[in-house]
Parts: sequence; C-alpha cells; structure tokens
Amino acid sequence: MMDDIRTNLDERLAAWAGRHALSDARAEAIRRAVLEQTEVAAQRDATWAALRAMPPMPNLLPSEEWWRRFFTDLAATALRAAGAAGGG
Amino acid sequence: MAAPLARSSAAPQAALDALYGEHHRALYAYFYGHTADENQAADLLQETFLRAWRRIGELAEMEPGRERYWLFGVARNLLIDSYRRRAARPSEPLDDAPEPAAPAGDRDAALDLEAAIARLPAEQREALALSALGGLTSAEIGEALGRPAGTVRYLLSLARKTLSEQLGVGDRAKEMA
Repeated sequence: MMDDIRTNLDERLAAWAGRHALSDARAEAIRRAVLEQTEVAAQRDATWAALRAMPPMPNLLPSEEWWRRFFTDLAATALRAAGAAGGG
Repeated sequence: MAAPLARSSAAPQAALDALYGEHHRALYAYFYGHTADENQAADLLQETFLRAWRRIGELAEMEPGRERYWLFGVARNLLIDSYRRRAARPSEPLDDAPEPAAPAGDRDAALDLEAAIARLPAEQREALALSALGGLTSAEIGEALGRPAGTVRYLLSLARKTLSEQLGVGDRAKEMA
C-alpha cells in the first residue's frame, strides 16, 4: 500500500515537473541573451583598456574641440560594439 | 559529482557557457520553487549568470561544489532583492497567469497539487523544487544550499508527507485497500 501512495505522489510530482521545467528552447534563449550581454561588456572593457593604455601627451593641453571629438568617437565605438554583439 | 570545467585555459565566455550548461536547470528550479512564476524565474536566472560573468575569473578557479554554492548564494540575494522590490510597490495587480496546461480530467488534481506545493513551508518547497524540477540529489541540494544532506532528506520527507496528506493520496489508498 505504501508503494501505491509513493507511486501516486511520484507520478503527480513528475507531471508537475513536466509542466514547469525550463524548456530547452527557453534555456537556449536565456543562454544567448547572457552571452550577448557579456560580449557587449567585454568589448566595452576592451575599449576602456585601450583608452587607459594610451600614452599621455605631455605639454599638450587638449582643446574643447578635441574633447568633443574624443567623446563623439567614444560613443560611436561603443555603439558599434553593441551593434556587433547584438548581431545587428 | 559534476565534472570540473576546463576553465583556466578557456576564454571567459566559454567558462560562463560551461557554467550555464551545468547549473541553469537547478537554478531555474530554485527560482521557480520560490516564485511559482516562469517569467520571473527566467529573468532571475539570466541575472544570476550576468553576475557570474563579473566574477568569472574567480569562479573559473573554484572547485565544482564551491561554484554551485556561490551561484546559489547569488540566486538567494537576487530573490531577496526581488521580494523587497515587490513589497515596495504600493498596489500591483495580480498577474493573469494562464491555467496550467493539463488534460481536463487531471486539471483538478493538478491544481490541487499546485496549491498544496504553494502552501508548503518555503524551505520544504525549495528542496522539493530542486529535487523534482531541478533533478538534484539530496547531496547536491545540500551542496547548493549549504546544508547537510541529511537535513535535505528530512525536508523532502516532510514535504512528501504533507503533500500526501493534503492530496488525500493516503486516504484513497486506504479506501482501495
């Protein structure tokens, strides 16, 4: 009799698990989303590392125009990186 | 026992991918066991691995059991944060969750089981979800949650006993006997 009880509960729990388990398709979609976001983060980190590695420019104070171009280029690089990682 | 990941020489993303392959089902089971919401569980699962990415260097050096424990620690913190955010919202309408897809004849029994599982104490529901939904052994659940395997077996036993009583499985068996 105990075996009947156990089997009945096991069957019901197996059905419950079947209804709510993560499907392969959804697991794959989450995996891709995570990897895409990490790709963007990796490219951003690489961009910053490259900027930090730039040698200082002694005796040369950047002008306002230089800084404007610098940030424009930086934004464009970040957008390209995000676009490349997103496949778009 | 999970096989150690070939991580130290692998690219960080490959290491993360391997971690995901090994732990995503158990983590999803953990989140679903607490939230009973498939979308929320999926979101929390994604966030867990994004956090893992930030520490992938350390994770890559961990022993397999330690990385499971680390991931579940992150998962626990994310759950607490999500509960806090939910509690902070003044009045949120209930989700229009679809009915579980079960054959018509089994629908009442399925709903009974859903309700009975929802009424279990949190730590019993957590252990049950990791066992039934995540496919983990008692030892693996203990490893993930930082509890002795014997305690996990006791929690699972209590959960099954409670479910049997609430679902009347025992009564039906008595009638049949």
